[in-house]
Amino acid sequence: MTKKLKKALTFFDHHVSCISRRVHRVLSSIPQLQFVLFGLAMVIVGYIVYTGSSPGNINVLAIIMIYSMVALGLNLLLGYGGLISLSTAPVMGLAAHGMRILVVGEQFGQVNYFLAIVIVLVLSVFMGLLIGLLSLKMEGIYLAIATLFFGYIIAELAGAFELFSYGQSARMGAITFFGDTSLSWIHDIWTLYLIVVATVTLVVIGLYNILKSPTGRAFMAISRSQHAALAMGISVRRYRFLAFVISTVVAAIGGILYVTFRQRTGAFDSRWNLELSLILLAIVVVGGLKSFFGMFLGAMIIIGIPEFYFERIEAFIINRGWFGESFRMLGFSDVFAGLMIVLAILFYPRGAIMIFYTLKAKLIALKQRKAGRDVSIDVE
Amino acid sequence: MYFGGLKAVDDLSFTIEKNQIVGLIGPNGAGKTTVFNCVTQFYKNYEGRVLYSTEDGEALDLRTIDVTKIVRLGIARTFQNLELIPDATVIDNVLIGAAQDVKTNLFDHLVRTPRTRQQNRELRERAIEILEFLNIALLKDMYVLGLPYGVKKKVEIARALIANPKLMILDEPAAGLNEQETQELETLIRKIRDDYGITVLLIEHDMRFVMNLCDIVCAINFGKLLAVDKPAAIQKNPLVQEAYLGKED
Ligand SMILES: Nc1ncnc2c1ncn2[C@@H]1O[C@H](COP(=O)(O)OP(=O)(O)OP(=O)(O)O)[C@@H](O)[C@H]1O
Ligand SMILES: [Mg+2]
Repeated sequence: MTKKLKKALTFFDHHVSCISRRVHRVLSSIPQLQFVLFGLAMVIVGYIVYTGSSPGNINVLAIIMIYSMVALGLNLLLGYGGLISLSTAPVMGLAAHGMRILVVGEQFGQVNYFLAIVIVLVLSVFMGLLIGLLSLKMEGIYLAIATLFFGYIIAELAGAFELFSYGQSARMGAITFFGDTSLSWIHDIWTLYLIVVATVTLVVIGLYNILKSPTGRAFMAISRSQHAALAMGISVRRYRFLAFVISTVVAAIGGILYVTFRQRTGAFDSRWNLELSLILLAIVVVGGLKSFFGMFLGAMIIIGIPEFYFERIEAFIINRGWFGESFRMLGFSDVFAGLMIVLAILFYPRGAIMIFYTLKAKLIALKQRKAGRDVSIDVE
Repeated sequence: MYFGGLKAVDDLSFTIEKNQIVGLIGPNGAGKTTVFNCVTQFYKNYEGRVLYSTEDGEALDLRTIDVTKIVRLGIARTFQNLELIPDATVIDNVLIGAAQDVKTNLFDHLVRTPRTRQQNRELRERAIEILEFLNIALLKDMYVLGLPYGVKKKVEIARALIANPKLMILDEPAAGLNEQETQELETLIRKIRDDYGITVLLIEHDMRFVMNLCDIVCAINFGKLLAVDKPAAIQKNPLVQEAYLGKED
């Protein structure tokens, strides 16, 4: 009986390892496929959530995907280019509000949804160049502060010109896809979710391609061996600009996706503020430099866990009146995010994604030890 | 060339002929690296001129050339303190040296056009060829971080070689290498000159290495020229002896 079971197990094991080896081979020849698989997995997970008991959680999933993508753009800046920016959230906000202004059109008239995207993206290129200008003059903490003020200036200007004070709602079938199918947030959330997954997947593949290309190598060179970069003909200025433009455009795509999905713009002082910029930075640090899956893991830890669990725990605790309202003010989720950052820096300075590498190494070691024991038994 | 009040290179003048291996020697702080930095235009506020003979025989004043354009003229260099990307593989580090040959643009890279793939393949092949020449092809997919010092030094040389230079400038290539590695390096540099037809200018403290390898040696101290001569003559030169012995007491 046990022998049969053992045989079945080895048979199973053999096939699994065969398949996994084949998958591994395909993936290493076309690494972009891993993101397609990830997208498909997110569609499945999303469907389970959407048809499950709390379909509202699909919002959280979409937001996590958007933030992971934006974090990867930020990672290009931080992990590759060695540059920092605290203006990510305001850029996202500008893109979201820009879309609303153009598409809803109470102020300047209506523009087709896709044309609006093009306009917003072109503007974001200019914004990236503007932020990039700062990086030619300063580095490190000074750059962080300068970009921080860039964000503040945007928010202040927006307030002064009352550009964004027409309310936040961007729903009404104003967002028209392919002719006259207009998507409303209430009825078409599943379609909107698919749009988010597809866009994020495509953008991530594009970023992956760039990072693995001569451009990606140049980004690493300007941050890690600037002198060699110069001597080999890589212009530090040019690639700094490029890094800022790319990460700004990705942030803008994030803003566009956000407003498309939520059909609300979000306010500058409550959503597109420094806190979000810092959270995105935290996702990069906690998740690990240089990989999309690290960003997704980071977003899951920093945003997912608080959203999925803490809200409930908080509500539970507050309902019981254990700590009262002050508990909510304390911000359980923020404390958690802070704690995660400290833990990540202490134990996984190269990011939480390294946990999987450690696990894999342990597993292989275990397997080898087991194999070793089997051999010794055979000898007996 | 001044650093504040310090005169690092003082009225120095020497010439390098094509296909020579020229050594630049001098005690610590003599200004050797500073000379290299002036030649490769990392510093531009020096007095005097650095002339480079171009393909059509013209004497080009390098000061008019931007530091990032120097490599296009066929001048590639290595650094005394390793300037490598620790968290990139050996081959990726080498490919940094091929930056000037990248003919594809950002859009090509974004969508991985066939052109990009073709070019990546070609560049990789060239990089592997060079790594084979330097006997480190087996390590091509290893991360530089944690590789032995000798290998890192070779990666620096490979990165300069892939730029197809006519003049290669090496800042202390043998520093930190053991006896055997130094011997190998000597053979390699000679091959670089003979097989690739590259002129070599190098700084080195290892006297045996310099004397064995170089055709001409230029000795400096406190930024001033002591002597330019054949290795044997340099060894006998009283000024050079004094500079080295005088430093020791
Ligand atoms: N960037 C700099 N700023 C100020 N002083 C410098 C700078 N670079 C070099 N110096 C000074 O100029 C002098 C020459 O330095 P250089 O690095 O050229 O010497 P070197 O001959 O290469 O010495 P070593 O054999 O130690 O490498 C030294 O006194 C050094 O302290
Ligand atoms: Mg030196």
